[in-house]
Amino acid sequence: MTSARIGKKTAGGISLDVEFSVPPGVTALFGPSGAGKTLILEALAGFATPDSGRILVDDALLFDAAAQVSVPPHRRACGYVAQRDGLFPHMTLRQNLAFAAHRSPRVERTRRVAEALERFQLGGAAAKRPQEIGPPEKLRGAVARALLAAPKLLLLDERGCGEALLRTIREAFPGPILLVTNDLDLCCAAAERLILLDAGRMVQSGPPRGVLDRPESVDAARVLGIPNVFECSIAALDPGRNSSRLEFSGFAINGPYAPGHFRGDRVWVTVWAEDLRVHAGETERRNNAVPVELVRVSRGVRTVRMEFAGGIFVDVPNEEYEGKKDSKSWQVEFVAEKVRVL
Amino acid sequence: MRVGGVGAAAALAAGVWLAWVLATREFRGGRALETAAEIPAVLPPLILGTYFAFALAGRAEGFTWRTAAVAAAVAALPAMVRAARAAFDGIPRDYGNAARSLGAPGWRVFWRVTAPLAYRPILAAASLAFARLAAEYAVTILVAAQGGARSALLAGPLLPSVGMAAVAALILANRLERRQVRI
Repeated sequence: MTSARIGKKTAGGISLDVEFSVPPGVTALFGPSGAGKTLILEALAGFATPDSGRILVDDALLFDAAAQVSVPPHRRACGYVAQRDGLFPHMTLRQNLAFAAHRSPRVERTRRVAEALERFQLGGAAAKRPQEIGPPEKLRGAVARALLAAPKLLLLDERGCGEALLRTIREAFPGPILLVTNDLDLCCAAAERLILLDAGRMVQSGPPRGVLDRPESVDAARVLGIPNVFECSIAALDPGRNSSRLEFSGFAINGPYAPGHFRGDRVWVTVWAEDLRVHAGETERRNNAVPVELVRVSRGVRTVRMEFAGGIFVDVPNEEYEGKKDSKSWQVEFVAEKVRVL
Repeated sequence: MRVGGVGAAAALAAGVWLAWVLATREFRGGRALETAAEIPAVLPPLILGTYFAFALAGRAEGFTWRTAAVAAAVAALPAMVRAARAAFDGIPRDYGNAARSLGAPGWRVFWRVTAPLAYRPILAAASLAFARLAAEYAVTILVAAQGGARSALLAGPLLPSVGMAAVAALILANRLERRQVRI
């Protein structure tokens, strides 16, 4: 079992207090800059000493503040791929990989290095130094090198990791992987578990889809980047129809039934920007829709983010926006099933 | 040359070791040690030489090339510590961390990662130190000969060889710095 309880205050103002386990497979750490993600990886690898807590990797005790146990980094068997790849610039890629396999006899070392070069498609870059190869090869090289040291836990502080590379890593390494990422799509596609971090604290954890669909708090919603977070009161509850009536300042909508709440309770609700519907130029008020005034438009690669008065954000595809952009009147429709009561 | 060579070599060994300890470890007295290593740099050579003269007064061995080499090493130590410390600090932490995460203990990190990346600027500083020490020793000899025919006799072989050593050291230092691995 791999688990960690880490408490640490840094001079930079981060106050870390987390407790989690890392099962086999990919566990993604997600949070804003300064949340403590890199500090967690450094504490596990032994590059930063926690003030309190306990770290177990594959049932081996690596750190225990109370018992004053702290295993040095070179004996922790924690593979670490930093944001900056860390490939040694004075060695070729092949030499970098051979460095990691230094404990193996020469023939075995040569075989393992050749296997790694093939698995990670690095044959063409083997004789080159890191300065002479591109970022994707450098990342694959750093990962291949980390795996050659036969780690029991793999720590990836690499924001450029894609799904294909993670698949290759999983084929080569069945153990636990802790991945720092700012790509929620990657979390859904490749991670078994998602941990949300904010200001040094775990805000929520669980299967990625579950966390994204059911944020449990305002903090979780903000960390996930859900722009629509509103406070309202429960005007009516209908458990038979699995619905409730939610009153905001200026409008009311139907939302899902909120168990554990009563009429009159003040609650927070969230909705992803892409789960709201925009209607343009209609005179009749739609069901569960709110007439709004368009404040601002931000164009992205494939979508347009429309900001309406009242802090309502809606993402629509570029083509849809092009067809509606000249409208003078707007309605935003709330799809009841997509509204989440926190 | 002997004084300069032995003095520079001793300063190199001691300076690199001290710089490595200061760069990689935090311990009580670290700052004091760092300051103590700088003291010879703020003392004029004449004062440093006078301290050695007082220390050797009455001792049987007196002023020999060995004692001159020790004095030279002490004089060159601050520059070597500074150069080595700057070289070590210029290497990103990520390389050492990566090496440790791959199972390399401290000595292996030093020999396989830190030293190959840091040796060029350190050797450049050592070669300049050698030229400087040889020149200072030559000046000392000439002054001690108290002018006149004896100084003129010594200047003949000393000045050209010291000049050549200085030029060779400069050329070596430039080449080492030009071939530094890009980090």
